[in-house]
Amino acid sequence: MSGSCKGEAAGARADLREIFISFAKIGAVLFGGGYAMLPLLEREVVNRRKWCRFEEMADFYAMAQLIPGVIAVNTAMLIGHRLRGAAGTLAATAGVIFAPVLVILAYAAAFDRMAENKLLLDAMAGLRPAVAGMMAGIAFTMFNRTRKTRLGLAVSLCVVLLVLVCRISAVLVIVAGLAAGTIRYALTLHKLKKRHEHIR
Amino acid sequence: MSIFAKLAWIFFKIGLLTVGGGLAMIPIIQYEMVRLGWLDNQQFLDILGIAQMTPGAISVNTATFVGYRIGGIAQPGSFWMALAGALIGSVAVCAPSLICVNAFGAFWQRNQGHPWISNVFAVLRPLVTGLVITAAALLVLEALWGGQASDIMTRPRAPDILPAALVLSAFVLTAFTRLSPVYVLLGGAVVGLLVGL
Repeated sequence: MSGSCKGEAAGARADLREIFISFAKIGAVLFGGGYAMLPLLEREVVNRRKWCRFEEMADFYAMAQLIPGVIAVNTAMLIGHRLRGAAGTLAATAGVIFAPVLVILAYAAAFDRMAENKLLLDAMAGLRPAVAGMMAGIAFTMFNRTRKTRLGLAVSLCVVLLVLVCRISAVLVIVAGLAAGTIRYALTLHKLKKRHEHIR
Repeated sequence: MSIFAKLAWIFFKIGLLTVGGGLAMIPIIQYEMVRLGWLDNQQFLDILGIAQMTPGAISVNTATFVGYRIGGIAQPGSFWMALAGALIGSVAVCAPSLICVNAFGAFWQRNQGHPWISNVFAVLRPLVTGLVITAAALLVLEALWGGQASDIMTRPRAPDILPAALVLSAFVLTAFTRLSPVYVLLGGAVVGLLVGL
């Protein structure tokens, strides 16, 4: 990790309200999940606020994928953390989820009243298959990337077999995956050590 | 256990188990919501569509929506209970990352290239692919055969033309073009409206 954000480097602390407002703006136009966030971050955090350089922000973005949770929220938290520590993470998180929570609240409140509305039911009847097809498209694209390595092909097919066919819980599968990755790491270490002894 | 405590715990768990971001959450949320009877597969498709068409992450959107409903069930007719549920769900799903960033933020930054992390992710990435395939398969079954999706293996029959055409078009547009999902989904909703007229 190189350098630090400008706010810290200059000794000037970013205003918590500014952090909240900036991320609220990003959150309000954050469509299509975390992957769409980078250009938005660049415009607001790098160009307008000048809180960090683009490379630093890209590092945060990469790191956000290693922390449990949503990439968009994690990226916001990491930048908030760098700017103002724990208070910064809270301001950034509150900001980035502010607009989405309001929109869904409005939807949920309206849904109760419009549950029998014909227009809504018709729109939903068209929306549902579109969502399913979109998910299938995403799955297809992901699998095309994954199947290129033997490990990727084996793991992804095993997971489909276990969860879809054998009905094993997704939670269990993820925990098992963490364990398998750790064992894989231990095996590499072991092999390296052996090779080292062999040379000596 | 109080319903709110359970709500907080379930979404905390979902937040904690989401590795590799965004899409990885879908199958976990689907599994947990259906298991608990908080959403059925059709409602899950609805909320997934809404989540994709409105700003914000799917998991936070689902947490807000389900929290609102659970709060409303806890005390029917009370907007404030529903609001409390919505906020509890939304905060709970973000809480694990909030704790991680604050507790290990500096540590993660120093150890980003550690071989343990790269090994774990070498397994987790294809695992997430498998989960997304599973979720997609279940959602397609639900969209094509609705409530009868579970017995389609024993009593096979053709799906309705319209949902099948919509599933296929959305699949092609997503897999082979760079069209934003917002338009794919809006298109589906518009077709639904037109056919309903």
